[in-house]
Amino acid sequence: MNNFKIALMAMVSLTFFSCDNEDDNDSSLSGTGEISVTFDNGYDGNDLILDVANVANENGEALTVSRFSYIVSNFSLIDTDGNEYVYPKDDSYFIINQEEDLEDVTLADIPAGEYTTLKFGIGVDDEKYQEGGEVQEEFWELAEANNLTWSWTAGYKYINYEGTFTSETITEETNYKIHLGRLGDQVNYEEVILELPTNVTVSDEMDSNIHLEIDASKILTAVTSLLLSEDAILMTNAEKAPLVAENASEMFVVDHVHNGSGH
Amino acid sequence: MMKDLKNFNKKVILIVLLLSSFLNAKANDTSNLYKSCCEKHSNIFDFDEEFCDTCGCGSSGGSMGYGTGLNNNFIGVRYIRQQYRSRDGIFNDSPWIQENFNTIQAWGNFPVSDRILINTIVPFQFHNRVLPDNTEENISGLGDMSVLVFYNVLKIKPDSIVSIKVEHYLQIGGGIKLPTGAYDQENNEGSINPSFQLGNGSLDYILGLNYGFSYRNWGVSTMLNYAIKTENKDNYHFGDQFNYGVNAYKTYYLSNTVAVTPIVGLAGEFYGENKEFNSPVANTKGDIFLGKLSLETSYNNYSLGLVSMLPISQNLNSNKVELKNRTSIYLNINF
Amino acid sequence: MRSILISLFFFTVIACKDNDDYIEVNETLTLEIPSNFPELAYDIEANPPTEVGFELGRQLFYDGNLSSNGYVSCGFCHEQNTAFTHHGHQFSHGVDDQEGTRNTPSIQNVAFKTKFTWDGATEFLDLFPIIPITNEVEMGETMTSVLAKVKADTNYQDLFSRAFEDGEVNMDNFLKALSQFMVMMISSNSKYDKYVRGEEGGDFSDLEIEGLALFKNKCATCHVSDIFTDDAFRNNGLPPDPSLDDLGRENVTGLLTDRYKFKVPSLRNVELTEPYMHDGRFGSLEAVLNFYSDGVTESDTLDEELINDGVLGIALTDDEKEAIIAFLYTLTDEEYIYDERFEEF
Repeated sequence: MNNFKIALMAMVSLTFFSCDNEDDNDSSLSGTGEISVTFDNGYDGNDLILDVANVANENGEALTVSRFSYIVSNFSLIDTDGNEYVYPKDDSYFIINQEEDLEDVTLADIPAGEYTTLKFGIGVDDEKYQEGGEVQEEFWELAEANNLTWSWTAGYKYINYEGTFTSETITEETNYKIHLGRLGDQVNYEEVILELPTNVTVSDEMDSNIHLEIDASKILTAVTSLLLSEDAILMTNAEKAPLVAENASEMFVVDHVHNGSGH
Repeated sequence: MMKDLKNFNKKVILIVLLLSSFLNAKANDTSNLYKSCCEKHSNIFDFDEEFCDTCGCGSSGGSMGYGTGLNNNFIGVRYIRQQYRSRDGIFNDSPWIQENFNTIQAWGNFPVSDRILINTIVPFQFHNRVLPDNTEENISGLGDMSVLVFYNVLKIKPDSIVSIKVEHYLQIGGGIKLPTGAYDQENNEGSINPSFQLGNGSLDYILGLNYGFSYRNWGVSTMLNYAIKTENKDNYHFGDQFNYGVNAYKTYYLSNTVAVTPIVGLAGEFYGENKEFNSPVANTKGDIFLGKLSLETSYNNYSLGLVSMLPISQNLNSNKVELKNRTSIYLNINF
Repeated sequence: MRSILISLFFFTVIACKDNDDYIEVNETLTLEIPSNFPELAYDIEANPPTEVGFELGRQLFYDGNLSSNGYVSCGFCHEQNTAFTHHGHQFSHGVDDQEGTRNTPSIQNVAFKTKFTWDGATEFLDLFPIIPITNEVEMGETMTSVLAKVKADTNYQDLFSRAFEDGEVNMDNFLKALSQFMVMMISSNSKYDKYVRGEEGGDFSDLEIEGLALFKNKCATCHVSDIFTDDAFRNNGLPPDPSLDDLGRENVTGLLTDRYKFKVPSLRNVELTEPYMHDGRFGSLEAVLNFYSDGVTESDTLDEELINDGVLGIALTDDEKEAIIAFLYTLTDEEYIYDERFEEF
């Protein structure tokens, strides 16, 4: 019994002095890594499920969403020193489509580093549009396939948000269609700037993920209340289009950042 | 007040001893091998040394405890089942993943000297979880072993002096939890709950304090412990954990050889935020407050315990992880 | 084309040494009439489509400056990938976010038609563009203003000078250019066409054959020939929408007997052109056939084809509807939808 006790004590003391597992944080990140941004579409805190009625919003209107697609573009990241890395413009246009489960944006070859802020835009900016149709034919056709275009002359639909709704005054399911795009010289392109709650780090050894939560209900409520019972079709309404764009710019929140192992 | 109590106790114990000598006429002989279960503490009712001491010994570590809630030396086997559920997704209505954590442990409290006691737990885990699409994942294997050393601060009264008064004990100690269980980063992929693992992959340091007192056949035990966790080889660093528990118990002697001790208690756990690559991981801290009910039945020097813990309030991982229940059964040999 | 130009150049250089000018030849485009189609209705001699004229017409078709806000072009509502209809739109929105009262009709095989718009407001393709350009809920412009904008553009000045003998930017040439473009829009290579002409890719399934037979029996009185319309104005029994109060052909002729009559549309590419009817009230072909079997309402001007022994509508069983819809899907012409000649860019 004594031997046992001694052995036990020895084991205990041995493990106390065993090597410390704690790694020194490798401050020299090198190379490049990939950052994926997940656009997880939701509605008022819940998952966005198409063709299912949602609880009434603050305007008293209960929406059933059947389509929620949008263009995000011009991604850039700001690092801990305040430097902004702008993702190559020509590759920086992406489609998010709830119907088709398109929710991931992959930004490859991001210079190694630690970044604090994510920036991107909703829709297609004027500079890109003015380059003309031939130059961006591939993306135009992709957008077309995802119901995100008008005619070229009229331009892209930045957001296609459709479904039906009811309200206290409108008791029968009524169609709503919100298509946000440029209206002539009114570009309606909005930028979104998101501070990351946890810095995102990439390097040759680390790919990371930024997981965003989108609240589609904000399109009608975030800054200005837009009542569908007043206008259920918002496509070329020059008065309300900038309000839709502004509301939409508030629908993005960073839910979490996942450093390392890709996702 | 203590003085009055002591006087009172002296008289009562005399009466009890007289009574017990009659009851012990048919005393069981086999108990010679078995020493008083609490050789560090005086027994309040020391019936032929056949009954397990029920002076309170706090459980230290996890709020399920490194011990049984009764202060005694033992070696045994314990099975713990915990049922949790975690959200599979970031939304309020994301579906739940049902998680079942099972562990079978060899555990024991071993005295190595007058005042020093070693507690060790060697767990074998077998966990499973059911995903929203009804597929099941299973992992099993050796878990993280722990070894703790406790020092009894208060002097222990020798057994031969029987005193009917409130007995206190205070143990301070610490130890380590070894990363003997496998930590597989893949298990964390896509899941909110980072704890579906056999082990956490890190060497952790544990500090503990147990305090309790007993009077006659009932007592109260409390325990506190704090785990300092370190970063594991996958650069994942679980947050520090603080546990506390308080139990109240009373022993009923049904016969010379059989006693039952119901135990009722409260416990709490606080989890610090996890880090990955030194950056905080969202939704990983939390706290939980539980109620505990336990029943230990002893027969000679064997104890069979059943423990049930239910959450009273909890806020784990921003409410994306929920404990449903914990149950445990253990079979110990006390010495 | 280029080789012709180059050889012509050399020819003229050699042949006419004195002449330093190089004469471009604006080639006339061949308008191929499919063997299963009726005769041309458009006067092709008066305005033969040429290469430059066609290109000019195409550019004008997709030019937002023909509208008051700069972006409502013809192509805004007439989208190629839905056979030049406004995909999914019941009514289209024009300038200042205004909405019309009629569903955008398709542009296809207009060279074979004699009446244009739902109420036949014009019988001349050449005059048609004036209607949407000057409609205040569509393009909201005036012809004078549009011509002024076009004239100010040097690119258009060049195209007009090369497309027309007189080289002028005037109303006549403007409308002719658009017609040259639209006349070339022939949809005649659907699965049905290949079936009828015995070409490869025209294998009908049993259901489609059955559907064709049913169609001929029950629908082809009005949706006649391989253009699938007789261009007549008929009241097909749609209960009038009080919020629109659209009198149809009566608006053009003033005759009470023309009340609620609308032009029979061609059914080519009907798979792509929902919603259906002059006011786009039906979102699916199923809804359309259900209307014909059970929804036709009585009216003073109801077409006589839709009353049979006092029974309104066209009797159709569910199976028959399924077959007819299967047949209608064979009218989709992928070649037309993806024809690069008609693309915006």
